[in-house]
Amino acid sequence: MSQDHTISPGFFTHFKTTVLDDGILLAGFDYSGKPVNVLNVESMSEWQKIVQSAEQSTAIKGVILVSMKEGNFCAGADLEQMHDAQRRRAFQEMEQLVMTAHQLFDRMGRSPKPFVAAVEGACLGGGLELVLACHARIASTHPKTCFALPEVKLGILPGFGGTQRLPRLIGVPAALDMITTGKTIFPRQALRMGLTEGMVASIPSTARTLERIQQETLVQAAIAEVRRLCSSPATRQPPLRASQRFLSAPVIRSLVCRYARHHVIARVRHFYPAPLRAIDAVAKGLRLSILEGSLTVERPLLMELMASEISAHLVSLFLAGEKVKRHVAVVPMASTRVGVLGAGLMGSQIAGQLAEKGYPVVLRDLSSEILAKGIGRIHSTQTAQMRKRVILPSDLRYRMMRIAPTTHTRDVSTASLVIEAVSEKLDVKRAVLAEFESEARPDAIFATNTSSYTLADIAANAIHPERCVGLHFFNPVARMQLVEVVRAPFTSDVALAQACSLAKRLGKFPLVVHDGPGFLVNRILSRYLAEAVIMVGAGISFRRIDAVAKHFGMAIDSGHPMGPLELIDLIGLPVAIHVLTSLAVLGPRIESRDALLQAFLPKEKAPLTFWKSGKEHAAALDAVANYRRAYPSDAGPTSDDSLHQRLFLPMVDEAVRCLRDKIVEHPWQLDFALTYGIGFPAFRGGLLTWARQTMMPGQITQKLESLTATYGKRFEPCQGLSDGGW
Amino acid sequence: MRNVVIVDGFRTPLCKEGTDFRETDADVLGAWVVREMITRCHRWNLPLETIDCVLGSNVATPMHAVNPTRVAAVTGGLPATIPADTVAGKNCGSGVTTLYYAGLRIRSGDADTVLVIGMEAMSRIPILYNQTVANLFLQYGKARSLRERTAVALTLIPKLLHLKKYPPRIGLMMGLTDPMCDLIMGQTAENIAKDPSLDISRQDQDAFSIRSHRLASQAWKDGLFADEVVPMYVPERSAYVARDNGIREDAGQDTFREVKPAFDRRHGSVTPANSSQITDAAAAMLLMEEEKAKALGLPILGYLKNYADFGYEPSCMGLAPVGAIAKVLAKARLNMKDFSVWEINEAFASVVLGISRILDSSSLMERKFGHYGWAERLGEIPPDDLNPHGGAIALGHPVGVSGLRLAMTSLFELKRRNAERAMISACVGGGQGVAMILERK
Repeated sequence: MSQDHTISPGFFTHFKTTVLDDGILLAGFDYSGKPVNVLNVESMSEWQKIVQSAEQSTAIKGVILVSMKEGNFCAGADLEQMHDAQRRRAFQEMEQLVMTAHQLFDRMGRSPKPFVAAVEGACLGGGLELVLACHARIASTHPKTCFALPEVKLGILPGFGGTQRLPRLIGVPAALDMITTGKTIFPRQALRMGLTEGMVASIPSTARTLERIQQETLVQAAIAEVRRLCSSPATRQPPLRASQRFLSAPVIRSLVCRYARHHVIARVRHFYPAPLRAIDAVAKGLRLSILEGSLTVERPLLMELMASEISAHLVSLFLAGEKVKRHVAVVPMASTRVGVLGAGLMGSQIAGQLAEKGYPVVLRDLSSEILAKGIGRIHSTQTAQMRKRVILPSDLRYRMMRIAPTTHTRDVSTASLVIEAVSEKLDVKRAVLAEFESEARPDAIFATNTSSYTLADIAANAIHPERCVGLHFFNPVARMQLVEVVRAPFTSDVALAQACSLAKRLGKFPLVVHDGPGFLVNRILSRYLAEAVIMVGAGISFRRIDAVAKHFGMAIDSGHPMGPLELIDLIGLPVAIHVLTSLAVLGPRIESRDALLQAFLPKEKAPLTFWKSGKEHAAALDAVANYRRAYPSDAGPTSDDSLHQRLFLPMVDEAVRCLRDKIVEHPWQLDFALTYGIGFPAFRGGLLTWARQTMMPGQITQKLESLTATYGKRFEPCQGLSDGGW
Repeated sequence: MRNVVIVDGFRTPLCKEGTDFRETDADVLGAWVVREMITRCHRWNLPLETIDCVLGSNVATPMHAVNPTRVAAVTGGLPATIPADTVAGKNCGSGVTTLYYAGLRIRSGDADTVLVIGMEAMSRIPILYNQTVANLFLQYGKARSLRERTAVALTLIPKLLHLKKYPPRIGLMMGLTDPMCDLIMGQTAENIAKDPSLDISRQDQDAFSIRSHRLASQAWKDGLFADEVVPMYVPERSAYVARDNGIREDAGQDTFREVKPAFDRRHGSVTPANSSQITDAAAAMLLMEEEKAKALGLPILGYLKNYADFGYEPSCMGLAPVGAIAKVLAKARLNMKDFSVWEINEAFASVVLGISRILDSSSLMERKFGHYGWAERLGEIPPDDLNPHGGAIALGHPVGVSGLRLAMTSLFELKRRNAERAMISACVGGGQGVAMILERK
């Protein structure tokens, strides 16, 4: 191995470099001080120096970029730096970074020496744009290898030339799909769509040093690619496939862009500008050269988006999620066996998730019929994943086999953690806990998935209440990322840590909340749902109620905007009623229309829903009409604005009460929980951020007081609301 | 001398072909019983690493898992470090033979703990393309140019549709036909039923099957099978399966008389009603060296004792158990009176009737087994002791599992009767018989 004099290994903080025998420079990206590689001013300027010296040195024939981090290639731009800039509203530094990147990436592209990226691990955002600026990309089949441009999820667009290079590489339709949705592409797909030139089996070396890495198949394949590019420079730009070339032709292209725009609007309405701007950047940029497009089209759009409120909100919510996860340490469990009690809707979903993440599960239910149905439900969701090729048939096999169904409690006794998801009846829950205490091992932990009882209620008769903790999953478990980990005063630290750690390993955000009726999310949500039901009782049409909420953007981030009544249909009316009744302890502010709700529960039939296949359910309308004959009320005409206030202001009031009751400590936790728990629109930054930024504290109190005057005591604002400070 | 004990054993319900387990492959059935055994090991606080190896019995090997035992063991949750092999190739005798090999391993000191599983998914035996058609498929795969491919396709497609001239081969039928005599198993049973010296009438056979159904049904009513049957949950069908589903509550001379002979339509007497059923099931037994089981404080269900197998004329394969029983009695120096429970696999009613008649008659013994050197009657099997809770006619005959079922049923019956010794025996397609002695102490 020859030593190069211009670049010697160890010269840089964030890169390790070495020159291989045949003059190929191997640059190992290794951002010091972070577990993942990020692109910021420091790492970018070092990469700039490497590119410069490679160009200048005659000894160097080509450059290979690899990552020294296991499982991560490059996570993209430094989000904390961006968040900081957004907070200070000082974007010069970011703009400077973008300019540098554009110049540098352009220089790489025009360089006579080939750059090849050997990608192993996640390659996201700016990282993918860096890779796109190389002349060729080789991916490994490492399970973590993936490509994505998730910028739109943060309210911005790919800003290092991604909107310019990607459509040229893989064609306009595929590029628009990736850019506007931020979806993840795995190596096999990447190869098929032309994002990478090659794919090799992953056999990562255990020691992450340059000497070891250069022996990997991946790097060997990259070396071969450099040689190929050196010998025939003409093959540098791989040609587009015929179909893609057709769809990227000038006139067709504009049709494709229009179609993409329709698609985006159908999905996120006009709430999120970033995907639409990204389409603009692609459409306009293709008429110019890459550098011109980057500088004159992409950059201004990026800076405009970055300065917007929406992006600031999305970035801070993203970082809040990181903070929630980072706070949780993964603690080892005595045995990995997890018991799930109750194979109903929640129990079976939780068991399915556990099995998916590799935990052996004992699923117990008293009734073998319910158990069989639960197992069947898990099987059908997992089979769907196999059909979509997300998992292999063998994964399906292992996942199903990890769940041992049983009707005996004694089989749960070997589990180190038991999640209870039995029916929402206090005596049943207490009986299950008593059974657990008599059977389980002394160090086992009892986690309850209750939605309406407090932990204190359930553990009232427990011998060892310190083993009890709440683990509140949301339905559908696979999609809802939030888990409320409930801590009562008697809960031990070990129990809490185990519960958090389990939730984290399931890929969820474990948010620790203190015990109290409805915990955090359901307590605030119930004000919203109860008010919607009261509106129904007052004769306001279902469509109008839901439209007000959807207009505000509720649940827009899930891809299915939903109003409160649709939400009640989703969670099931009996569950909703149960939560509302059990929250009556909070005082007169939870007003439930029992007579109306009972009309929705016909005897020996499935409960009525408000909506039926997209239309207002006729039977539900009849029930409301009957109710209104029995309890006539006339509130007179109401404006949409007042409906909006009636739905959302009580939530703000309840949120402030939660903070005052110390259910959670920080307002950001609350914002985070509501965004991920009930689908409060992320672009508004969360409930309290929205309230803070659109209204003065005094104004909210005032509005609530006037609502109290018109509609009754349920709107009475709490003490802390007018004081601000939340 | 190391003794082999049976720690525990259980089976899934036996489900008729095409019913509850029809979507479940043999390796998956096996994985279910492995998973259940793991749950039991946890109950006994027995580390899974204690198991030295897994031996499996399976006859209709699934195409996707030529060693279904290994697949079942690993997917069922056993550590991948535990080796597993499938001891197949002895048809209906596979279960008993696998127990014997597991016992041999323990006796020789090669292993201390062996998990024996049996699994059979007869619903899943494939139907194959006719060989001519299959060859054309291969040719199509090899064809390179479009022209070549079109040419092959044009000859292939008409043959594919012409089912009469190019019939598909039914795997199950092929499996049940003996290539040494070109007789399907039912026809070998006809050979026994038609043998004038044995004097087995249609009425005798039907009466025996009715007895089998009544006993099995009564055993379920009395909850006797609760010891050995573990309910299963079938994810594909969201079903809970707790009972054997082949037992006919309406079994009686009137109903059975109506059934037409299946193997010789004109002159035969062997009908589906007096033959065993085609069935899907799995079973597991944990075998251990005696001292070790005692040291670990595990329950002991019984002891595995002598084993013998025997070869006979393939066209009368059903009589071979007589030889196996005679051989194993001689080995163990016991006589028939020493046994309290007899489990002889009811492949066909005529088979069990033939066996018990020969055992009880010196002249028949002389005629049938004289050239093996046996001419003495061995004794009578008391009717109360023979298959006391029904057999394969009522419950079903999942070929690779039946041996384990015989062992389990007889051990639990010994326990109930507080008796000492049981004999299990089965006829084996191809003209063989197996017999094994099980003891409680």
